[in-house]
Amino acid sequence: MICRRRRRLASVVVTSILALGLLSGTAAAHAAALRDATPTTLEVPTWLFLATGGGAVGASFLLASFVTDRVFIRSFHEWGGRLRSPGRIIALIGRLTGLGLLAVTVYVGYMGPPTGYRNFAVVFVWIGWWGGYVASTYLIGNTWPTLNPFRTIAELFPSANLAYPDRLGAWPSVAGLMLLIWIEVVTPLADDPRLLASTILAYTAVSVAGSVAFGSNKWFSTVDPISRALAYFGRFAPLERTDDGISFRLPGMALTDPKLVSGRDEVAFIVCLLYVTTFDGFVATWLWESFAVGAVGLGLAPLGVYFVAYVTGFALFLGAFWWSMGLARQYGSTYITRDALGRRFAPSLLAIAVGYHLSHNLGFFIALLPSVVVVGAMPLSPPQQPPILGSLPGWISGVEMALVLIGHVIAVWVAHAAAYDLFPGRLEAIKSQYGVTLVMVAYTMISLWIVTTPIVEPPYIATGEGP
Amino acid sequence: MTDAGRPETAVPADAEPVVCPYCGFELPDETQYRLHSGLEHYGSLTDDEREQFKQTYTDEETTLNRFRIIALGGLVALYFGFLVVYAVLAV
Repeated sequence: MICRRRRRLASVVVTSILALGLLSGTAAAHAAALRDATPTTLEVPTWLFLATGGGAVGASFLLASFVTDRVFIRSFHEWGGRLRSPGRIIALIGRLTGLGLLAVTVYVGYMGPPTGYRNFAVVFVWIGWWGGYVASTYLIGNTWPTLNPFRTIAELFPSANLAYPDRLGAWPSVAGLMLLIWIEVVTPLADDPRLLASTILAYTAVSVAGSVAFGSNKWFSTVDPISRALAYFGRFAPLERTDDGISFRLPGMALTDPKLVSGRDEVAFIVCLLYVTTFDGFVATWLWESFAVGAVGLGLAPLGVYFVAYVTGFALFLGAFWWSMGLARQYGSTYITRDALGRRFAPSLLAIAVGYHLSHNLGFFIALLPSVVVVGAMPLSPPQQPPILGSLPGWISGVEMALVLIGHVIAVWVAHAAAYDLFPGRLEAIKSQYGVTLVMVAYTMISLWIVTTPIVEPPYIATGEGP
Repeated sequence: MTDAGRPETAVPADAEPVVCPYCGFELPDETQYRLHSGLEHYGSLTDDEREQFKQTYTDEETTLNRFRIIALGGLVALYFGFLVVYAVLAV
């Protein structure tokens, strides 16, 4: 969602700036550069650029394979300690802040200006919350269980505490995440504040209904897709709230925890988290445009084409991961089941998801942060043209590329450490990573291609600017 | 193999696994069993078994070294491969 969202919002802002002529040509050109994550000053053929990204991931696997000292590997993951837990007052302030922001967002969504980039609801949700806050859940720690306004509201209601059917596990959250991103892709959720406010209200209603039925703890720890996604991001973070205080560790190093993922359903959720980002970017490429136009030309319903592609793509991602676990079983010469292997290797994908989220949102967040502040200061009468940082230095895009790479390197390391924890033989542990490394290389290349391919408006779906 | 207990296994019908007497974990061969027993149950092993574990662990070093040479070759090929391709294409 990140990628296209950012591009669409940024392009709306940039186009309107160009139209108004408020900024000089150079500044606008810099802002337009936001839309492409890589500078194109050096003429590198696309395939070579993609191969370099894939090669870097492959090289980090080869490098990691030199580290075979079990104690040394474990030491990274065991480093950490505890801090005192913050008091109840801070938790209460957190809850009230979340609640207040939700109320303002919904109110301004309905009553504020109908233009997306001038409406506080749109800029706050997509830049402040999705671009900024979500990054804090993996860079600092997951504060969502406290801030989560949906939970604060849901806990006001009594609960019937029905028994949650255990066989459903995390599958409803997978379906929920797929549904949320589906809505995000096929509706103008980033442009239309009224629609956004209604979606938030609907989300609140579903959360309250679920909590009333199963209890808020069960609902927000199992079914609610946003809470689950941020909880996984929080496992990457250096700080984490535990029963006896706040524990700290090296970023990403808790991903080898054998208890992090407990079943096929949770593996599917992590794969889904990675997949939805990719799909959202993919529908804004020429490849999808020509495919969709061709398919609709054959007489298929446009939304049907989107839907079938959406579900098929997810099945392909799951299939690729499952296949790589088959390779792990084969090359690692072990009797450990694919399921058990998948549960240990899947968390490494979270590091990749984190790297992409940060890389896709960094420039966007910095450039549009002034908009959030100014629009937030006067949400009902924002300026015609909210300010943006038009001239981001060129090295920002270099940092973005580096972040993608760092995410992958951490992922390779986490897979390496998990394998060393799982396999008695060190060589088997290395060989077991062949499949997952191949999948990561392929994923890097696909993502880099999506990020650097010029954006086209996804065909056949409403992307209007407000009602 | 960790706090969460041993991972579940599925043994093919025609295979003859080596079963760990301490935890029931199934392994495909004696070498893997020696390593497993030393890594997971070192405290319960006899002196003789500990010696066997150390021997197997040291022997593993030989195969690991072979792999490292191949991996190093891979890295060099990757590096110089890209270097050459960039030199030719990205002027």
